[in-house]
Amino acid sequence: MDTTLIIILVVAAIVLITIISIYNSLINKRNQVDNIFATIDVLLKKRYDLIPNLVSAVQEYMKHEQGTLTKITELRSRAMDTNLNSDEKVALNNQISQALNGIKVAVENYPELKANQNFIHLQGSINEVEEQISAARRAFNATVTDYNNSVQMFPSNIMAGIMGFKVKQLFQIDETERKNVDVKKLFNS
Amino acid sequence: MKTYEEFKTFCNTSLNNELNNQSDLRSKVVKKLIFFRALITLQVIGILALMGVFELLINIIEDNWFYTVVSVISLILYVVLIVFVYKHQRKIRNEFTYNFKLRIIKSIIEFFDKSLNYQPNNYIPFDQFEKSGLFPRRIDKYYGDDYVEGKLDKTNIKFSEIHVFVEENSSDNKKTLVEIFGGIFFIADFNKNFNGKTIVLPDKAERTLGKFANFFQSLMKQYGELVKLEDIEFEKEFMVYSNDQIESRFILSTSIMDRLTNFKRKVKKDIYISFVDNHIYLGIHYKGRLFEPKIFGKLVSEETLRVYYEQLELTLSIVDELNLNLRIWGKE
Repeated sequence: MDTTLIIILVVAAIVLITIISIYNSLINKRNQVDNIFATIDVLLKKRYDLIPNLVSAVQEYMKHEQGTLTKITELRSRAMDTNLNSDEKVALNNQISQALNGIKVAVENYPELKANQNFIHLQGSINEVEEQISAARRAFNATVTDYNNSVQMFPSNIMAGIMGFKVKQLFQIDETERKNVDVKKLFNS
Repeated sequence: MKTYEEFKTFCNTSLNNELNNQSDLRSKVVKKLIFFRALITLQVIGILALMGVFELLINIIEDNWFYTVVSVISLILYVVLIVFVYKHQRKIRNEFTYNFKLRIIKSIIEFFDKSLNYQPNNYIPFDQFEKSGLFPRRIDKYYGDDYVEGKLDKTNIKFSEIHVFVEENSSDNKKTLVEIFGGIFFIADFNKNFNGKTIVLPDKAERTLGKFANFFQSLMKQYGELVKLEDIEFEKEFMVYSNDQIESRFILSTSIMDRLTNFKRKVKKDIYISFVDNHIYLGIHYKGRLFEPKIFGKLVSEETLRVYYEQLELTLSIVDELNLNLRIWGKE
């Protein structure tokens, strides 16, 4: 066989292997992002399930906060709608977080409620879910960053262009989230 | 947590008598030990001399089996005697150390917290060390002492000194034991529920290799997947592996990353952490033995006491430093 032909074949093989591995790594990264996004959904659902319990546990004590409670119930039923796109979902869930924080602050005015075992337990479950949601968000951002790097960096960006992969948005942590931490401290001190 | 000033007052008052007693005891023990050591030295010289004499005798009285048997038997008896004396002096030493720990170290530990239970000769069992998953390889030698357990507020804790060795082939094809971890091994309840396994190791690579470190770190598959965290200071000190990307972030919240970084910088030693089965395992690497009394030389100088204090304070402060008593995530 001709030497040039061998060289061409070897080069072609190398190029092919490179293309395959870039392709696979892009798919892998995209799937990781989807996978973690799905987990966030599961966790949000876990939080939706806790809200009615919370409302029923606090409503007989919190006479002055009925408005907040109605609002959170309403937000929950809106957020559970399966037809929402992800932006709307994020927005609604941010509002739910805000409302939940409102309740946490308000609880301070009801010592009886604060001492209620059922409520303490529920509060623990909600805190746990919130911490898990925040963890999932951070995991999501880490995988999205990894994915975006591949989509934008040479040479995988060429492949990503052909495959139609686009840069994905990170979860922004807004002002209310940052306050969230302080409220927790306040609540537990 | 008790301050160093409080500790000094404690040493000068409550502990003072016992320290003096132990000091007197030490002088007696030292005299005995010196005597036994001299005896051993003399015996060794004796045995060498005797061997020379025997050799001479055997040469002179050739083929006399009686003399040969007598010399061999007396040699054996002599060796037995040396071993006995050597063992006896070791026993004296160990007894002194045990007593010292039972009186001094135990009081110091109770000074920190009355609820803590101290057992000088006990240590964290091997299966619990293994469960931490921090050193997933064959271990050839494992021992320890100074076991402490108790409950600080809501958190159950236990820790001890341990030493962990593996056999390695040295250059001349001989097997030598190499210590891969030595120091304090600490186990406590963690304040969150989790199922997976998350390992936090000291990041030696990042300090030397910088950005390339990530590539090599991702190759260490025996620990699970590499977890890249967003806290830059934390990432400088540690590398994290886990079998669950989300759960590892649930455990390593922004606040706990900050707390671990601060703890690491306070300790100034390599620390190994793992989160397995709702527990935190934490190893602080120290050189040499801990909480041992000096037999030759001043028993407990101010410096020695300060070291005892620092090591215990650091270990017991883990609960507060990591805020393990904060139980707001559904775990009682």
